[in-house]
Amino acid sequence: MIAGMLASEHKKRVCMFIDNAVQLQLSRELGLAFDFFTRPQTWEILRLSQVQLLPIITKISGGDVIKNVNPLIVCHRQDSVDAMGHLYHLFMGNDWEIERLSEHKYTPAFAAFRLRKIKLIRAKILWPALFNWLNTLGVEIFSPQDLEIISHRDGSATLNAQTQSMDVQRMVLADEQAIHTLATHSDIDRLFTKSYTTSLITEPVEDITEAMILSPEFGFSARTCQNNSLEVLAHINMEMLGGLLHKNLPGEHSIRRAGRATFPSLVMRDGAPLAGKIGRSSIWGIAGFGHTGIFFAPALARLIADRSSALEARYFELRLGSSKRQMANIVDFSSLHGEENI
Amino acid sequence: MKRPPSHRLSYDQDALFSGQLIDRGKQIHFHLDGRKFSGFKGDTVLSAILGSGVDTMGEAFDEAIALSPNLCPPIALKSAPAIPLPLNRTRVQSGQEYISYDGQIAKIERQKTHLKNLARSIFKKFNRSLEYDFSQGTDINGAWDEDVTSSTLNVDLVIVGGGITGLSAAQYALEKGWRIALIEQRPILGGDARFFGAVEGEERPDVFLQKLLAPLKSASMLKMHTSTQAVSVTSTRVRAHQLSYEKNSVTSSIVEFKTKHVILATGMLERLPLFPGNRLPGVIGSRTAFNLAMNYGVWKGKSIALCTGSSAATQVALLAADMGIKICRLADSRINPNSRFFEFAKAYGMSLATGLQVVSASPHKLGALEVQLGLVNTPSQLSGKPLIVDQLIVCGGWQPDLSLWHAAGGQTKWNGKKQQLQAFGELENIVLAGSCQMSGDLGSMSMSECSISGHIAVQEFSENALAITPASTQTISHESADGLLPVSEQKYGESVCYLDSGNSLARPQKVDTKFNWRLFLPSILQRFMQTQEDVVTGYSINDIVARVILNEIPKDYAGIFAKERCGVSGELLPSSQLNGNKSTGVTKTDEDTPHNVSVPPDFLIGRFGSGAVMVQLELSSNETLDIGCLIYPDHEELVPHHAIGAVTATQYSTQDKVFAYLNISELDSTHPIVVFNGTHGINAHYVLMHK
Repeated sequence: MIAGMLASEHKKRVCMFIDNAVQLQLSRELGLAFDFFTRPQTWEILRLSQVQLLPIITKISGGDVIKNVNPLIVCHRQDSVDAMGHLYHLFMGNDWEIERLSEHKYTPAFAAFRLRKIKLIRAKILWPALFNWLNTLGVEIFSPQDLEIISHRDGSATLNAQTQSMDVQRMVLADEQAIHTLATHSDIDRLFTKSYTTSLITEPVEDITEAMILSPEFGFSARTCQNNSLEVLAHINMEMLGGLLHKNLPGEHSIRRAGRATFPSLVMRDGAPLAGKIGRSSIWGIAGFGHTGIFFAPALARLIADRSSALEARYFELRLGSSKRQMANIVDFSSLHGEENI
Repeated sequence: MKRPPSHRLSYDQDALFSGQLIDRGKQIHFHLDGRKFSGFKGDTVLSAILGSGVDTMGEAFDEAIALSPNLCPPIALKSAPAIPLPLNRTRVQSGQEYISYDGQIAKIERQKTHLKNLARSIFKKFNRSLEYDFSQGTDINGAWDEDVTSSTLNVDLVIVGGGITGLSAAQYALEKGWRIALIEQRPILGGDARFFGAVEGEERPDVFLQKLLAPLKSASMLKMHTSTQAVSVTSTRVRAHQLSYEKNSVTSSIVEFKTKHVILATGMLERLPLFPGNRLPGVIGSRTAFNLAMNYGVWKGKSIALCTGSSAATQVALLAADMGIKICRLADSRINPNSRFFEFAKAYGMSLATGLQVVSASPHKLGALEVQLGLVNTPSQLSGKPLIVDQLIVCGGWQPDLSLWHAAGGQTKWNGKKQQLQAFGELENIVLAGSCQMSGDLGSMSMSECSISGHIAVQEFSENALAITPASTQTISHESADGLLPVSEQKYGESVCYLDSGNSLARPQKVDTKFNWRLFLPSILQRFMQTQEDVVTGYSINDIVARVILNEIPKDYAGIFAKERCGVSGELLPSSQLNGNKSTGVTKTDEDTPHNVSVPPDFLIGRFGSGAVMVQLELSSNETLDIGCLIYPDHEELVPHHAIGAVTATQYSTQDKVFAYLNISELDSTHPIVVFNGTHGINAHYVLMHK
């Protein structure tokens, strides 16, 4: 989405390295306009960016691509209950729909909340349309397997892909996977906790009444598909995901796997988003936006094109990946709670 | 009731299809769901009921579907209804009462067929069906996969697969003094050596096996577990499902093998040709037909048509002819193929029709099938009149069985020439060997190639690896390579076409064999329907192969799709039931743990400016506040942007204290502040805790 916006809104020539397999793979993120950000500034940027994104996405993919969902949020640990308490009052203060569920099906010791009218982007509809859109914009798409990078001190780089060689002014690693592959070990260790993410799809499950369940613990999400199967994501390995899923679902269910993928992932140590230079290198990184990544695309495209608003500039200045990162002032709730290498 | 048809071949001591595992002198009677069946000592419950004339599992998509070793329901003893047993591996016991496994019945729902049963009893008609209805779900295998581990064994090497490759690996590993467990899901060792036969210069499979097995049987460091199914594999452990028998009962257990090394020698899967009616009762894969006949003498009817694209399958027709079965048609999808088996067929007086494939199969009277053949390159051009046969034996070629490789996290990629998913990359402590590693042009590797491959696999784990020439698949000049998977054109009104013979019941996506009512919807509604998610189920590796061949999955991504969707079936259990791993790694803190009231949570630092400190609040009223309530300097603008602090901890259970993180740089302690509880503001002032 960022590549498309750079090409369309900012008239940049963009080449993108992405594996087409992303359309066939199990989900790697939700595309939901919500994650467990407690900092009001993040919500401010998200809300502004979302307003710009939705018409564009509807234009390229049709109205079906966006759906409103009412996620249920469940918390089992005191620190996540507290974080949700702060988020609850942040939402209430902004008149955004949130409800604390005091008498829910969950045992009283658990805290549960209900969000309403949160935008969800349906990836299965978006992906094909997105690739078509990028093609019409002239964005050149390459497989990352063919990529050779020679980065220069001024932030530019020479990319050798297939038979072509390209000089680019700015190279952006636009997700955790790209950072994992191409950033230096020291930068990764400084900024991220290494973890595993498991993406799971189940066979249809009976009597699931919730369309979406989220938990701040382990970045858990479960979405009920139209055929009643569940798409589940969490920063946890496969063996542990069963326990986590059963714990977060109301009621008792027999759940059978239909597909699964576990892959190494990076989780921001300070829980805050990252956008900008990573370490001393001239390479940019974007990470830590969780489920909301796509909704930040307009703001991130402006940042990359050096056209940020004053508000955005202030926000992203603190969230660089270099030593200038203002960790103390941006720390956010971390889904891993310091769990290292689960 | 009419006497059930016997689906057994007559006994011939010298014939391969004699039913080697059964003792025909010892008849056994038993009940399944109240129906009386008979079999022989050595039968499995499945072979006994197949031999008794039941050939139908039930209905799926409004059509009968065959009962086979690839799709059969879990059962249980009536005396132990909660323990699921595999129908195809459970040895039948005299006088035993079996029932369908209740846990699965709830999901599958047996057909409510009282009227049908009444009609059958009036007309004294034998019921060929187990009466399952798959409209609610299809997952009937593997109910035992996640059973609790009942025993753990420590070994140096686990070999999964008791074919020539696995046995050769065991033989070589014994020389190294390793403790070995060999797991084979079939009741006998030898894999598919007997089915594929010997190539030129090799001894007969039985002789080859006998020589290989003789020293292994007495080896104290090797334990061979037959009728045992490996259900999961990691780099350090293999879990396997095992049955053990006592006088009048059978127990089911999961054995966990803790190991340093794993060799997967899982062989090949037979592919199902794609045509409407490819899973009707009476349609059977060539290897399945071979094994049922060889092990149990099970065979349906007196006439067959055999359509293959792989030479070895032809042998089934020759062996059946030996038993007096009429071969109505022997067809091969390849154009003028060569094979030693065809020379034998000529000697039997059979003529081979080449370049033909099955176009469709449909039910005929008295359990027979009506089979229409057509030309391979133009399947719409039919070849003669439909054949009426008791059985249609098919072979769509072979696919390396990489199900456990996928389950262990292994990768595969598409080989377009062979139309196969093949393994690539490495897994820690796990290697592939034999035909599942590298299939030959003739389906399986030859026996000698398998033997070398088994040795190489062991060698890979050795510190001082010797150079052994890697196995290369043998090309024999007078044997044609396997053909491509036959795909029939499917038309409205014909029977259901499945992608594989397994339990997923996956069908082609792009071509619906039934009437496609969506085509008659307005285009906007059609578009809406396209946004519905696919039916989700775990796929077999053959499902994915078929979908690639049908262009439903891009070839380049077949491996990625397979890695995520194959070998994944199994129940996700709550943490309390996770075997051997009681902790999920999830810290469950149900109790209200005391808060640290002297420091704010990290995510509040800097939020309210540099003048924020921890304070205690004194409220003007006795209202209860919760954590996260925002604090404002006045009642003017109660929006989060103007907040100067937030409640961080409360102690109502003890002293009714409220603590907050508050920017006091422009306040003194007498200055009134406002705490917003979500609905209204409450006046308060703060008491400093720390400077």
